[in-house]
Amino acid sequence: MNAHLVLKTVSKALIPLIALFALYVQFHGDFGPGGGFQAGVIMAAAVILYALVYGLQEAKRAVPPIVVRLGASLGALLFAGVGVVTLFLGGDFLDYDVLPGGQHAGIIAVELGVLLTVACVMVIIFYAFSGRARDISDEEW
Amino acid sequence: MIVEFIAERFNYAVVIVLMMTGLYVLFSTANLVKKLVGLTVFQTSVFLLYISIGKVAGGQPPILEPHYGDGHAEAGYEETVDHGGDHGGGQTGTVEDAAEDQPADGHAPMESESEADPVQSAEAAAESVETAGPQADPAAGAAPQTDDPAPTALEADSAAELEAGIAGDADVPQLSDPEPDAAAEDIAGEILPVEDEAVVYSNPLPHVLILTAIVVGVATLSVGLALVVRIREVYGTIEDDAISRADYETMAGTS
Amino acid sequence: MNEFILSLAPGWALTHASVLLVALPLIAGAIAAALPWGRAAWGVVVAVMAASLFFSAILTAQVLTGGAFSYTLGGWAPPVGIEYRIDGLNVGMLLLVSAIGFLVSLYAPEAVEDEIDKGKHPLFYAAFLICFAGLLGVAITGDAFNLFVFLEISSISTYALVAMGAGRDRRALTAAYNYLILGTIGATFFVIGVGFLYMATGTLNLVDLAARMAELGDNRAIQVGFAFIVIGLGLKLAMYPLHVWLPNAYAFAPTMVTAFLAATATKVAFYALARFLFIVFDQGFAFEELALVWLIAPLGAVGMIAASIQAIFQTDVRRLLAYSSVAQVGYMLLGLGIGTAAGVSAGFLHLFNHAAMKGALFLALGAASVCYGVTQVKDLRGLGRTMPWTAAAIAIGCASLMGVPGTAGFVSKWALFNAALDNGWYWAIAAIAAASILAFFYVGRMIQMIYLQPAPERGGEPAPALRAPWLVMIPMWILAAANIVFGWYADLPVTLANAASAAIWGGAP
Repeated sequence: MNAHLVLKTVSKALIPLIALFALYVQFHGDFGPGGGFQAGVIMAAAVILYALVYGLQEAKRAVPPIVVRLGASLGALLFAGVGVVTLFLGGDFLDYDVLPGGQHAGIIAVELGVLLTVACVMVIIFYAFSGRARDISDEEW
Repeated sequence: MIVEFIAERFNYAVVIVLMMTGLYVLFSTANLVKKLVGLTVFQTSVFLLYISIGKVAGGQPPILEPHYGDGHAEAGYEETVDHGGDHGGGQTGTVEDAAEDQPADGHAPMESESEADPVQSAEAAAESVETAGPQADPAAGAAPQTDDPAPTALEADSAAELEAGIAGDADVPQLSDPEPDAAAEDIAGEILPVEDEAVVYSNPLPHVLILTAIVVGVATLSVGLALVVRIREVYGTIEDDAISRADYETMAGTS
Repeated sequence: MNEFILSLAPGWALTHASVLLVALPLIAGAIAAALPWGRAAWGVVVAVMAASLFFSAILTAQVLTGGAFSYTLGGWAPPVGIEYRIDGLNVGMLLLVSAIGFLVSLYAPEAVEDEIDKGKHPLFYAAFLICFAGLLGVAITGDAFNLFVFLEISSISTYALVAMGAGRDRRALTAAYNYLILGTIGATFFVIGVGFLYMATGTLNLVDLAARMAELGDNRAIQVGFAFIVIGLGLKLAMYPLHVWLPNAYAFAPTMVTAFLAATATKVAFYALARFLFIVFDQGFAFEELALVWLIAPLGAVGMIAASIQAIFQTDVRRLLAYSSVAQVGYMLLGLGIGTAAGVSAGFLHLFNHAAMKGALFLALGAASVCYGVTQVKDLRGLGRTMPWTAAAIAIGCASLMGVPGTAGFVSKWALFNAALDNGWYWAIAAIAAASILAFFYVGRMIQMIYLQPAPERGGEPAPALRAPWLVMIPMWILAAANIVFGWYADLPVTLANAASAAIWGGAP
């Protein structure tokens, strides 16, 4: 009999919903409260919940540290890349008006970068701190 | 009286208490983690301060047209065309008393003498959306629904007092009478003249600033905690005095 | 010279140099963090630093020929949008930060491989780039809150950089922690101050703030905000009683980080203070109404003397120089406190010269540390024979620090002296003289160890003469030579310093 059966089952059901909610917050940021920061933290919360329930090793298998490290850089580069693209299109740095989709496209791309970076950085912080102590085995709970 | 005085400034009292608590914890404890807790409380008080100044009774969103960037515009929404080009930021007109009044005022929307029903006031607010061009005439918002160009002539200093009178004279049915110093309250942002105090407008700018400051605070906290983790690994303690003692011993040992 | 630089620059660089100056290191920081190899990250760093130096040279030429200009981010016009404003006051800072950054980055591989775990090299370089971008951002931005964000970007990465010295000495961790606590208090004070200004004026743009506060006149919110901002920036720039974080942070950080920070970090905060005191706040407001003239200059004078005395009793050579840095900040504050065009110009002149002195000294000490593990003053024994070139660079830096005629240090102290004399501040002149004499004592200890003491024996034999690697020698000697060159032909720093005071009082840069 598996310990924490309830926890595992419930979180298995919840994690996809949390991730979905993160995407909702991200894309609803156009019309209401929301945006990359909040969505990124929620997305990271899904990974952290997984790590808490299934153990750090499992989480690192599902979301490898190298991926989060690259993701954090990639998000920042996406943000800055939008700025560079606007420079090439003849505008000022981050002047979304010159982008094909205008302000809307610019903010979506930038917020995606924010989502990626924030989610990855939160997971990095969690990995860094929790990796310092050994995992607690099931018997010790 | 004194209760009212305190109640109006409740947020600011909380800010001060939090700030002092945070600083006290920071300086009084020797535990490195507790110091970080104190630091975070201290920072949080600042977040609260900013959020407090973001609430503006009777303010309105500064709608910026896409062509705003070309030159700050007199242009507003179409509904406001009948004002002529003279409306705009109240802040320049009322700055003197505003700065002192502001902390108290932003939070007492319920005390306003608004008689308009909420729906109507919302409509009134919506109908007079204006731009917040910084060069805009200070006195403008006083009589948003009139064609009367008189406000342009007002001197900045007297704007606040005169506004009340003008609004009264104009006799616009949708509007409630603003309090004489009502215009003082929109000072906290690029916000517009007061239409109706019952409408509490959240100036988004302080929120955005604080979102940024929170991120900075999280970064600081996590760097600080990471340092504490490393300190504990190396020194075996997170008490400041024990660390100083260990350092003193190494120094005595080397020299 | 200016025309030559402008003719070299492509058109896109002329228009976008200001934003690229900040964006490029940030982008490169993200790239460096993702790279697996330290060497590749170092290549990125050097390339970015060279590009930044070029961009700031362009900006300098533009300001010196055409006056101040601004760049709107995202096409949003100020005061609503964030603007980068480049004028005489900050262009010198941009040039200083990027020049020091470039020189220090050349020096990096030798020192970094010696002091930092191999796996952390890319992250170290990433933090270094982000710190660099933050400092440039503080200098270039024209928005009060943006200034805070950049201040924290540079500070947080600095905490990490300082802590990376833990491989050599575990005290780096506590030094970084204390720096973090005090630095964050300083930054938070600054935000509180900005919040008060925002309450009173409803704007964050520095130019707009200045205009609206001038209209406001006497206002309690502004006075409170002013106090918070001065204290907050005072913590960041190590104004004398608020300097306690600095000595340990400088002493235990990796040598390259110390050289970079000593030459740039406090200087940028000093610039920010100067901008707030003279341009954002009305000068009469800051100096006459609030009697700041009796705060800044006396604290500067007290700092000069007290920190110099503390420096004399230090045994750790980098701690000694760190206390000396606090004393030099005192000189700059004295210049600022004099509050005349000559005084501010002298303060900025000393800022540039001090960056050259401390850059050279810390790089040379870093070289000595890499080769011989020098950390204490007594470890310097016989360095004149074992590492003659490095020792000579230290000697030049020390001479400049004392203010020996013919060195850069003399030029700026002389300018300060004259500015104080014009005001009739004889106590300030006495303080400058006293601090210079005290400098003779702490510097003299180092020189005496280097040239008059025999080299310690290593393994029974006299220590062999070593030459530092070329990549260490070149930046070290460029900075050391700058101390001599600027002592005779002070054109460049004097032009920049005068541009700074001209930005405040008007007149041609």
